[in-house]
Amino acid sequence: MQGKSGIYKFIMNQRLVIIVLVLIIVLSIVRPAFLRINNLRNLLLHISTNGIMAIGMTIVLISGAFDLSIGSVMSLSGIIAIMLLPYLGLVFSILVASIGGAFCGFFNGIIITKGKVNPFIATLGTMVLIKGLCLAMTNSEPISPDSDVFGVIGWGEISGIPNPVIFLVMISIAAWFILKYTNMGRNIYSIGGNEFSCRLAGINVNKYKVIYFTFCSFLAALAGIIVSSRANIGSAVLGDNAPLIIIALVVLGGTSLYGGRGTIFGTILGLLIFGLIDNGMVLLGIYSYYQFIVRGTIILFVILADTLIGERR
Amino acid sequence: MSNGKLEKRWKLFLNNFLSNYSIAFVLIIVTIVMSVISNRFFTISNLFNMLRAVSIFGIMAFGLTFVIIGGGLDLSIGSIMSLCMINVILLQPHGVFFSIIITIILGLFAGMINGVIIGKIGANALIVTLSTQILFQAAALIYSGGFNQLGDPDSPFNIIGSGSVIGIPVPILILIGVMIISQFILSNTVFGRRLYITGSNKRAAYTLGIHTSNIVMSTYMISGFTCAIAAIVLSARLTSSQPTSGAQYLFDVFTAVILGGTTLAGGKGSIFNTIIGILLLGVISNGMMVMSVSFSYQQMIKGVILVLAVIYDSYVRERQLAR
Amino acid sequence: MISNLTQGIDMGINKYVLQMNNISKNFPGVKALENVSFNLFKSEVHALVGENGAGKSTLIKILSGLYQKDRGDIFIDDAEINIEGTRHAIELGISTIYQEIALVEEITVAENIFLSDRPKTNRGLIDWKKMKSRAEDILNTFSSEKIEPGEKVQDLSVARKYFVEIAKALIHKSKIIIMDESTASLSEAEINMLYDTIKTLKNQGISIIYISHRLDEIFEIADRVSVLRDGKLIKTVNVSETNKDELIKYMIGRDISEMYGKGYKYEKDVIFKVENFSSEGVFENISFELHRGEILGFAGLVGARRTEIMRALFGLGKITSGKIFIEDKPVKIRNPADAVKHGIGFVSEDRRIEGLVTSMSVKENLTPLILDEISYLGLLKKGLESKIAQKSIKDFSIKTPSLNQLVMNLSGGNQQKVVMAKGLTIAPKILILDEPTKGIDVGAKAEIHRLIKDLAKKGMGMIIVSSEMPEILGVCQRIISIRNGRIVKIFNIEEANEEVLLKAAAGYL
Repeated sequence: MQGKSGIYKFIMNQRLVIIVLVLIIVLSIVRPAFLRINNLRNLLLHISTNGIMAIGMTIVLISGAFDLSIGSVMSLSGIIAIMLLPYLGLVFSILVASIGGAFCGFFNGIIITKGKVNPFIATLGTMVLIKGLCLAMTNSEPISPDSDVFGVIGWGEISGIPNPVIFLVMISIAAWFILKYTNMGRNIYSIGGNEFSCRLAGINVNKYKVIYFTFCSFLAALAGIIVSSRANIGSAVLGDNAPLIIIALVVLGGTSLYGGRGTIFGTILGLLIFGLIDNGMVLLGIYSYYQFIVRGTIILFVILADTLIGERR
Repeated sequence: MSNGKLEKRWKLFLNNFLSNYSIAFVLIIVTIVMSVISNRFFTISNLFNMLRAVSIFGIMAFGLTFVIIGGGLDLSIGSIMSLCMINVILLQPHGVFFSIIITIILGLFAGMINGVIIGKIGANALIVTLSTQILFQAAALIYSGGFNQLGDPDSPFNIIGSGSVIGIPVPILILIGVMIISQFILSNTVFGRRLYITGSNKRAAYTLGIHTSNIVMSTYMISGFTCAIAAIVLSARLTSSQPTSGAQYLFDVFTAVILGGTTLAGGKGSIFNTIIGILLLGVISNGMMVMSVSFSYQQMIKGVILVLAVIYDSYVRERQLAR
Repeated sequence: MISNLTQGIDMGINKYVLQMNNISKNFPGVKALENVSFNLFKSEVHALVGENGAGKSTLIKILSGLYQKDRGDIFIDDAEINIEGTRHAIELGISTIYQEIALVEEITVAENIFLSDRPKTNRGLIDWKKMKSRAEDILNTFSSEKIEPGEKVQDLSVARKYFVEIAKALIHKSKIIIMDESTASLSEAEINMLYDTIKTLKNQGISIIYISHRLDEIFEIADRVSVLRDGKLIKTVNVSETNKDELIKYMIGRDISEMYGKGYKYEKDVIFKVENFSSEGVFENISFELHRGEILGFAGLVGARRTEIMRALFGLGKITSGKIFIEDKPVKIRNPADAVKHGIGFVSEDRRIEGLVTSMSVKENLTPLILDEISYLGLLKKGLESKIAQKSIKDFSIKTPSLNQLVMNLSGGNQQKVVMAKGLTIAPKILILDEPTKGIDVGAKAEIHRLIKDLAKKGMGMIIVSSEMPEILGVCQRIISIRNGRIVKIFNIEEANEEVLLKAAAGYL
């Protein structure tokens, strides 16, 4: 009896790793093409931009908040980078675009802490606002960079590894480190777990919340620049479906919508699961519209599960 | 003594009136401003144009009003509409009435999916309707094979979109019809009263023995229903349907409802509020068009308006809670 | 006890670690504290007692920085200070352990202890090893129980969570620890553990302000005790120089031989019978009978679980066993709709949140239970609704300028009348009222009491939950005393008085 519950517990605790392994094994068997270097590379590339945003979203979710504006920030940063390219050159236009994105996060944070607006509503509003801004800036039409150098970010590689993947790895490690070894990182859990307790202890909750939102949007901006670079366009609709997918994969990775729980590693696992499923569908030749249905259904189930578990607690 | 009481009553009335109907004043002012700026604005044909333009999202806004009063959110309305548009045109060969009935059932069914997951299971409305938005849109794409569906230009079906009765275009008549029925339900039925209670204070509603899950579910079905109606009207007018046409309406419908004063917190709001919101948005859009403002700036301005409306809504709610 | 006193003298000229002089605090309409002077020696356990609403929690919240005093001075170690906020209070050496544990459940014990002050390495990174070992050290200084610093707080028992809170206080080098109703959820063994810990803390030079209703405990560990009543400090006395009865007399203060409303007798037939009603972990084996025309009171301390029992009877809680009979017929009540169907009405403790829809009008708040009755095929008969609302307003003397006045604009007393009137629209056989006159002024209180008696005369069976002794004694015909979710004793009104009720509630009858 003891042994049975022990195994059960083990499986439940490691369920994400197990799912990832199962998916990899099944895919390799059913479509050996999965294991080709090219395919694996594509897989990693495909998930890296989502991954970068997911890390930012993980931080915000653990702290008990929500950020729906990441999609719009993504679009905005790509547009800014492309527009500034002829004037400031590659490095500075990317810098300005990233800072612009970070500022959007700062703005979110201020509205939520000083304005006392509910994070759902606030970021819903800024999502629309920033998208409107994008539309206005581009006159509702996609814009292209006037120089090929812009592609370096998305297409370049260092010793065979694509840049986006390198970014993802660096950011993941940095995030993991911050969450484990700095006050700023640890407070995410405290504030998300029991904000009242933190205020009683004298922690400056508002300051940290603003920092978290700024960081999340900064990462969304980076992701946006990479996506724009790969697609070679800047467009207001680039990030349209992003928030939902990102939130879903973060929740899948074990972060709760109610705050206080979650890990970077879990998010990476959620990211891999989503990526493997997508890759699988492509390899199996599933009609693209059905892909939407599968995605939408998975997201629904993930959210349902989190709600039911959350309510039981 | 009676004088003092009268004065108090009058003050109370003014207070309530102003807080509820201030948006109406805004509407009047904006209308005046627009007519001053452009003399083309206040003509019958332009006004009819405007009403025709608002009829589509107006019908959906009335449905969404129910959802929001109940404390929920429905972001899937655009997709439900797309799905219904495809459906109604594709089923035309089987008969006009048949296609209309089936489309209405489809709208109700889509709303029910939302309603069951949000109302009965209790999942978060925002996330659920964001996902069903994708799901229903995908369904529309699959159903139509990705292609626009063309209707029969000579079919009697088109009267719904382009005909008029006693000089008033049918879409406007339908808009008014939906408006009257919705208002009636909200203010004169047991369901309406229970809806307001559920939206204001779910705990109290439950303690009063109200089946809040059923009430919430019904609101989503009503929303789906109005999306179906709007889809029917639009397809009739365009005699065709695109599988993605619904997406753009989400934004306008939402803005209209919130602008009109129905708060996202639930429990407060009315059809009158939504009418004001619809008209206000219609006037602003029409006005900008008449002034030849470019499309993208129109979008941005509408976005700003929505954000401001949402922030103001939150602010008002905070003040209420603090009491 | 005498040795405690001499210990105080031994530590040198009775040094005060805290002095509060003439503290006053007002809230709109209520004088929470009036010229209260309270002091604390070093290494002392000073108990604070008083009835609900006497002012204990206000005094504590001023010390912990949550409230600001209106008048008076505070000295810590002879230096005058002004406590500006919660952070400041902690810096001044005052730690408060609230009744609701303020820990972050999902992180470890060690991290909770060092929540605002995590130990760092030389390079500025969090030093988890140091955190763990320091947490262990601190926990060992006062607790013989092994608490793993690496355990998540959510996995701990309530008693251990309490120890973690104490550890937090120690880390901040607190001189004064305030313990508010600390033993409410502890078992016998755990309480003894706490006593040992308190003694250890005393030896370390820490002073403790100990709030409790359980007079036993006070005589077990306290050095002095102060009694608050109606916002005033009645007496501060050495524990060795007093006894329980005297303390109770100070707490109650009223002339015990007051006139209670005796009057009419209730009828013989039982309209409501409850057998072995239990909800695991909350209340157990509640059995009683309610007669036609009877007013049955449920007395007890806050936290005795009376509200939970009543809510469960109305279908708002989880039942693990028990039977309910209405007029001798067994009934199943799974939700409020069932309860209403069987003729049970409920007036909730929290009228603003549950009893009323504050954003709606008086009329709309009077009729929600009878919507089906005032409608035809789903359509509301508005004229009928207004008539019924008017009648309720008249019957209950509800003061409102109009039917359509928003209920949030009414006074507390009138709001409560609306809630009661609403409950009565269904002509219930049984009406349950939870703290019916909480926060209501004297005049409205009397009106509501009269209403309750009138209803009973007409044959309605009523259950009243109240923490105010005069109310229970003035209105009820029988009183059931509840403690920790169990029935202690059932009294007839003739044999009940404040003293006896308090003893039953506190647990030593």
